[in-house]
Amino acid sequence: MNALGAVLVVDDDPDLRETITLVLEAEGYPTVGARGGLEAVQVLHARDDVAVILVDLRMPGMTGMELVEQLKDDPAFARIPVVVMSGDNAACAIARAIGADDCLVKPIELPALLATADRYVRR
Amino acid sequence: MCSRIVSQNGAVPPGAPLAAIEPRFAVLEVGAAGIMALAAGNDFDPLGSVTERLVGRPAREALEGAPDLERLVARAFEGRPVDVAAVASCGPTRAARIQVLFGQVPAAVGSPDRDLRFTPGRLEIPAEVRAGRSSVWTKDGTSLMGVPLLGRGAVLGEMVFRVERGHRYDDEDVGLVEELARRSALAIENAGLYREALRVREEFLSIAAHEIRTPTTTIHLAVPGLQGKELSGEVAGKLLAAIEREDRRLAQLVELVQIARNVCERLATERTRSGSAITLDSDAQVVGTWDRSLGGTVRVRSSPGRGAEFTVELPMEVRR
Repeated sequence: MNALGAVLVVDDDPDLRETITLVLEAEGYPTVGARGGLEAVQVLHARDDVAVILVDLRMPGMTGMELVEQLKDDPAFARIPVVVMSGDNAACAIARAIGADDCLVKPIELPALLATADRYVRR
Repeated sequence: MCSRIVSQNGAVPPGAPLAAIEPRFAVLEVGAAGIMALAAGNDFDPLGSVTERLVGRPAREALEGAPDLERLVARAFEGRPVDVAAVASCGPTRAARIQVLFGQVPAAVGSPDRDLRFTPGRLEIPAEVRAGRSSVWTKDGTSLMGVPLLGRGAVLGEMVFRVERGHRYDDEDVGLVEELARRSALAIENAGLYREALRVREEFLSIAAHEIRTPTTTIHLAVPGLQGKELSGEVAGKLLAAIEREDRRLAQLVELVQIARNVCERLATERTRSGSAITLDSDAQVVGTWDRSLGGTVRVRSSPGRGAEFTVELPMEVRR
């Protein structure tokens, strides 16, 4: 039985989503992917072990920004840490503005990704 | 007291180009960068300066509206209606705010001799002016003139002049101020277009950054992932495949940028003028404005078979 909570990776880019999932799982972090905001909400309703959510800001349909705002407004999910991923130089400012807990500015380096996962999954 | 709208050289000939009357109008004619350009120039207050020269200091003191420059500029830049486009005062207090606002305005703007008073209170602008028609009226022995700032199918705001004594505004005054208002409206609209262009550019750069940094992130994560851990053949194969796909994607992006650059270089490459006719040739869609005070005919040809020709009776100018 795995005691660690899962990392939910929300990104519309299939290669990046899969790569993040593979490298995190290789390091022992349970990981689940979602192609967008709506699918992320479905995942959150389906399982209760999500420890942190990594969200790409720029996605078709429900944007990352809209997803974060929706999650922070929902008492069932508001406590789950959200980490914004973005290639925008203002990613961290945007993250703060929308109530996210942390940010990762693309291109993301592996040590930064692992440190973030460790910070929120193992705490 | 100069109580009549005259040029420095005498009465204004009806229909004369403003630039021929007052060189400062050349500032307004720049137009393309709108208020930004006006603000960045040494003469921050061209409207006020022109007004002062043409109508005289008393009238300039009475130039109403826009008591809050920041609000005026902000609203103009948002493309929403403005109350009045003319700014009548650049006193030290306002100059400081202006400098903060634009960061480019020389300190000389706030010199004491330009510290003009605003007439207390606010003029009531007639409904017909707000509806887009010029008007001259009197109130308490004062002659007033209101001219709308007409944009594309919309009233952007109004310019109101008042002279205390000795003069009654007439059709000639109205004609000149209408031209001033037209150019002011053009400057405001151009400022909006300029702002929109900046917004589109920022959006493009943001999307470009996203499209480049996302595949780069995949590579940045996958390469050390392959190097650092003993991975199963399946996982390693998936990471390698992801790297290959993202590499191709980045190559396509480079190609796309090169194509876009080539297209941009072909835009509006031919512009010829023959007599009063201007011809603009372009391989792509062209958006432009024209100035009635210049040329006569403009022919715009885009892609073969999709040409369009615009002919007007009034002089006009094309800006790329």
